[in-house]
Amino acid sequence: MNNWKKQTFLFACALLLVLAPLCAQGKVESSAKTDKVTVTPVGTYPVVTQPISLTFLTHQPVYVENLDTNRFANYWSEKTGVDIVWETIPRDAVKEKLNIILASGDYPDVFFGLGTQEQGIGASHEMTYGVQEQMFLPLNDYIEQYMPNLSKLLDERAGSRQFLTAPDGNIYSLPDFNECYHCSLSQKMWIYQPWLDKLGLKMPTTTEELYDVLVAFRDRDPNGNGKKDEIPMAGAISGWNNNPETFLINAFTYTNLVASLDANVNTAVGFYRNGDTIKTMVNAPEYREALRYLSRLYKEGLIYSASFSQNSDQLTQLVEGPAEPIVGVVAGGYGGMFSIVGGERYRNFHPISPVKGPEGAQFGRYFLQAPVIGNVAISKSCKNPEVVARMIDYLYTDEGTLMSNYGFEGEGWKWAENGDYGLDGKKAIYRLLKPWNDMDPQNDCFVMLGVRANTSRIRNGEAVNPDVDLYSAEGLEALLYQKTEELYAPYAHPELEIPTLRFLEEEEQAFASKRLAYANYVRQSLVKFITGAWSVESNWSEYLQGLEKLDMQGILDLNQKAYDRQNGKI
Amino acid sequence: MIASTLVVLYPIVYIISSSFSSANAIISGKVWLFPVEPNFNAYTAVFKNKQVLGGYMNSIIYTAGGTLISVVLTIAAAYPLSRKFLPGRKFFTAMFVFTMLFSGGLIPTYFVVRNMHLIDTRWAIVLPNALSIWNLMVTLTYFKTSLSEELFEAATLEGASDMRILTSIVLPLSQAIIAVIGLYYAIGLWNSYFDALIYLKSSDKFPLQIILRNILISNQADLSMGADMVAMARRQGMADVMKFALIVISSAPLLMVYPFVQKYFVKGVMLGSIKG
Repeated sequence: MNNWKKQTFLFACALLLVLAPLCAQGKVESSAKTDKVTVTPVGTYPVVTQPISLTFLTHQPVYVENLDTNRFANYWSEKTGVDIVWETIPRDAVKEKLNIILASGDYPDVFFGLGTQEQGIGASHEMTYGVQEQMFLPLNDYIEQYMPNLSKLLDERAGSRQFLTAPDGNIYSLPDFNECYHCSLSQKMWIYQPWLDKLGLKMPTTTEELYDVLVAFRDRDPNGNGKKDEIPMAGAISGWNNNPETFLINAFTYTNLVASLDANVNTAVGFYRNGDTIKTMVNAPEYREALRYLSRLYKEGLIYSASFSQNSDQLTQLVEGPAEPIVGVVAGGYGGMFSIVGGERYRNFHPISPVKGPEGAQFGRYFLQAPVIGNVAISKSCKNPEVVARMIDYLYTDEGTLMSNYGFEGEGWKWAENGDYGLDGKKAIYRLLKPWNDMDPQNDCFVMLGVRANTSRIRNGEAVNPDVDLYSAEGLEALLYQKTEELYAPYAHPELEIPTLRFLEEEEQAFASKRLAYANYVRQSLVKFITGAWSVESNWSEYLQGLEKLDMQGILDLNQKAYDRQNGKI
Repeated sequence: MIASTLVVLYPIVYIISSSFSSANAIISGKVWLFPVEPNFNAYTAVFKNKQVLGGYMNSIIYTAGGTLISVVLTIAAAYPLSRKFLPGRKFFTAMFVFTMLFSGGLIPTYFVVRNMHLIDTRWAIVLPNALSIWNLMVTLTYFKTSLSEELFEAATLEGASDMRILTSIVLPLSQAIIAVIGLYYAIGLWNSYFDALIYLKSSDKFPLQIILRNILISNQADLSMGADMVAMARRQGMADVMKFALIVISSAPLLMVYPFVQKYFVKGVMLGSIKG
């Protein structure tokens, strides 16, 4: 017995001996840091009076060979006088690694380019590590004092400061601007033009005309093989706006509702904004009317039955696979979502403008092009946040953005000359010298890493060849720009969309599961009504009761509260 | 027999064929057995990335080095525990088994590795998980059941030390089990990427699996980001082909090694399953 005790004691001592130095070591590490350095006046380079070194934590993009030797990184570093020490995380480990780093206290000076990734720094990280634990520095003062370029961009965009601000009134990360014009109206529908021509039909403009066209596609053998193998309309449950239902419902009432259960539970559940009031259309009589229309199409075999179960790869195989074309109308954000870009079938699918419903409703689903948060956050252990602010601000200049995107002037791009016109038909800003490429490894620029001011001015200022074939692969960007402007922009109502809302921690907890249950219910019901599993006539009141049971009003109220808070109404 | 072989073989043939086919053929679903419009585009695209070759080298280093360390440690732990005269044998075995059921969790483990100053070193990949308890138990059982006590007695009488017994008697008699745990460790190390994700910071130390995953993920069009559509369209097709090329590239080395170890495999795992 005594012997046993002695052994245990010895073992415990041994354990302590092993562990003690381990514990001690943790404290030694974070001591020596550079002294306070002074920044030079705003607008001059380099940004510091004496060179300093800062640690940037970022993810390792495939398209950049090595950040240590990257030419733009070195140029930026020389220009600003800041030596950057890069630490990299593999791209899909951002979530785990970030949590470990934030929990372990091994902070870098700057978190760079970690916001765009799924599970990267987002509103909830800002909530936890900014608002609650104060590990991220509040940046409001640095933006005003040291970042004239960013301030200007924010001033030009009403509401963008509110968007960036966490519920405690502080901004914890700097935004990446990427304003894509055609993406804002990307709920597009495409029709196989040769069939229209062959049957002598007009491009449909109303729901009834669309119905007639679909019936003609079904019955009049447009592909001329003598078989009734035509699919009038097809879509997919996943993929970029491959869902046909949203386009069609918008002919009855404005909606962002989609049937996919994987879609965003905040922004695609049928909520919209009427002035400053958050409302929903999922219980409106107009929506019921839309469901009647959709179920009629489905019942008569005009919508391909697998549209609510297949993915966009299967949709592409449906369109491209058969020797003769069999699909007439198909939904997608662009032709590449259901066909091979530049291929023969791709060329023949032409976009349809939003159709007008029986009551005159005609909307293009609007996607707000909000900046992406989380791509630059400064940790509280950073000794020189003003230096970081100064150097990051360079990336918001035209030159900084173009160099970060495309490399050096004269190699990847050059300033536009007189007579160059951009995508929007206005005077161009620059011309690309190499085709845009974010796949092949290169070491001249960042391509998409970090923050940039890819504003609509810059994106549409790219000089284009005026006589490019719109339906070729090269003409894609011009096609999307022109068709969006011509066919969709007249029906755009950005004022109906709700800007991204930020919820408090306790609100998140309170309604996370409620919100999901509601979204699933609405989406499943939508498909049930379309496919006829539920009758729009007899099951409607039951459906409304279901909405009530899932506390839709409560969810709306929380959204309203968050909206009011964000817009200074509380 | 033929039918079941075909069932197993078909996916492999399909993947290899797909990796040599054109992107368009895959998108439109035309590949089902032989490559359509055969080409090497996917492989060129993968190997154009300098990180891939570096990753290959790293993976080979981690697999070879890690397997060596792991096998040595496993035998070094299993042999003493198999000898009946070791005091506290049950206690040590229980300690080992305990870690099978309970672990410190991710963040404490990270702290340990960090405080050992292993973060961002190659050791971080091969040391933290060097000993797999499951493999240890397999080896232990093998030693206990297939090496008889009389053998050890005889050797001891001849004046052999423990070390001598291990090297001259135990190891030669245990080739099968060594091959088996070696293969287990090698497969584990070759496929592992989580440790590398967590512990490595510099991209020149990343193993192949991470780099392949990186390539694949960045080729999955992130359309809501609204990047350039022309590049997007090109990428989308490429991603489909590269997916297959990546599978071939990453499984080729193990597929080549497997046949040589396989003969020990069944033998080794089954050994010790029935007590003699």
